[in-house]
Amino acid sequence: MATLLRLERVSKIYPPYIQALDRVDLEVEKGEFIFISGPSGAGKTTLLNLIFGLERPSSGRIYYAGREYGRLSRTELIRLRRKMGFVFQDFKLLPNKTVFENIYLGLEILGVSPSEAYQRVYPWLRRLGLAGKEKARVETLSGGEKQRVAIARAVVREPELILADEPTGNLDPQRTREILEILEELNAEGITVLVATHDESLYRGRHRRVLTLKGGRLVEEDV
Amino acid sequence: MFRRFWREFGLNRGAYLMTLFILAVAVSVLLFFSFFYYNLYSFSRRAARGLALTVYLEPGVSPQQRQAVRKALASLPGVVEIRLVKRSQVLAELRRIFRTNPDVLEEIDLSRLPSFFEVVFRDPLRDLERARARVPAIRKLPGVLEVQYARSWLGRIYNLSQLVKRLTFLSGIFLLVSLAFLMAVNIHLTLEKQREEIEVLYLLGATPGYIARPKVLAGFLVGLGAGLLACLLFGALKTYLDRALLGLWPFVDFQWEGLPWQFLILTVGGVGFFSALVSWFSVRRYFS
Repeated sequence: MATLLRLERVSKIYPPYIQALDRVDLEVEKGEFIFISGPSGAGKTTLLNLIFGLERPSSGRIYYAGREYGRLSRTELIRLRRKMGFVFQDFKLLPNKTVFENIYLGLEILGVSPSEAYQRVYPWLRRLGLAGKEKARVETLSGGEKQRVAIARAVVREPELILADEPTGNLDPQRTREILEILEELNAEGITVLVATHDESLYRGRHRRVLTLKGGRLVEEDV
Repeated sequence: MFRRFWREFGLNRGAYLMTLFILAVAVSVLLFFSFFYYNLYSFSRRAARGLALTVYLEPGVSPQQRQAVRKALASLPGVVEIRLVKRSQVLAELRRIFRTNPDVLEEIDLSRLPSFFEVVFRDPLRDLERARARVPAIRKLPGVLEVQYARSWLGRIYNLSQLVKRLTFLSGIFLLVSLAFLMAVNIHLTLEKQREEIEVLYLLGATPGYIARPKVLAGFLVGLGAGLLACLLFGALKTYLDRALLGLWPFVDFQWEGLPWQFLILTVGGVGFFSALVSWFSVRRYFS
């Protein structure tokens, strides 16, 4: 399989001197499903942010499909993000907009017309248990529903890579299982998935590659 | 693009409309001064058409002195022709005028008739005004009897038109500064209002250019709208002036002239373009 993502000795230091990541090496093949585990504050979100291009590493190099982030302009880096779907821990939804409008935002950037968007969004709403909620304002939804809207917004764009930061943090066990199944289905369709979680039960018994962040270093776990 | 523009306009309708009206007033001020200047200038030009500088020579002027005077006149700005009207020509003209009453000429000492130079300028009003400072020196040249030139009300009108020209220029600068300030503040306000949405768009892969486009289009259309509204206000003002001042100066053939349509198109388009430019830079500044 071809390499989709490569991190070479990537470090991230926040001023004055907080080492979030320390010489992290990571190679992700296309179509892989990887869990990144570690306790809160271990640097999982920082790692995903660096991969997503939201932050620049203090040192080291990140490659996406052979393109090094350091060589890309700001605009090119933003455009690269369109190939990825990010499920944020705090959802990053617009509370005063409807479910459909929130999901459509990501598609509109890709130039998808509203009529085409309806056809792409509705199957996902059904699949994520949000059918009938498309006109509901996000502020009226529960935490779990918001989480699913955030997932729908990420997956509806058919990204090459999905980055999910604690995607089941607000869900009950039933919904957690469903979300993981959806992510696994997407992975089976060829989409690469990186899930950051502090919840060990999420990956136990799933026979997936698990990487753990300890003291800013990434360690491969044998699960 | 237009869908996003309409959403942008709908979200910030109040701010954009307020900007449009204030800009329209600023453009109207510019158009008013331009109109006033244009009318003063064209009126004074019309009135000054055919004006020339006349330099009368002493009856006993020598050829060398005449040559020196011609040389001095040739050095004046904007001179296109210097005609020497000889005493014989003056005499012939007088005889033509008084051909029905030749007795009049018999009482005149024709040997005292002066010859003169008639200096024709490219732009009589402007060039005569510029030549005015040099007249005392010409008057002192040997062989010069008198110098005559337009220095009365036409000169004053010309000076007034120059003052209005400066005011027009200042109002143009005022328009540009107020336009830049208003649009920049307006765009900043709309960006602040949509901060959360912009943050999400940015996370989803929207470039600053993508976010800027509907705002730049809105800026352009607001500028264009302000320009058109100002033209309407100006049209109303001109109609009012035409009616109010009709027959005010019975001895002067004066009619208000409208501004050339090319100037109006340039102004409206320029305001639209400049608004779009300011909007673009405001968004860029916000993102930097």
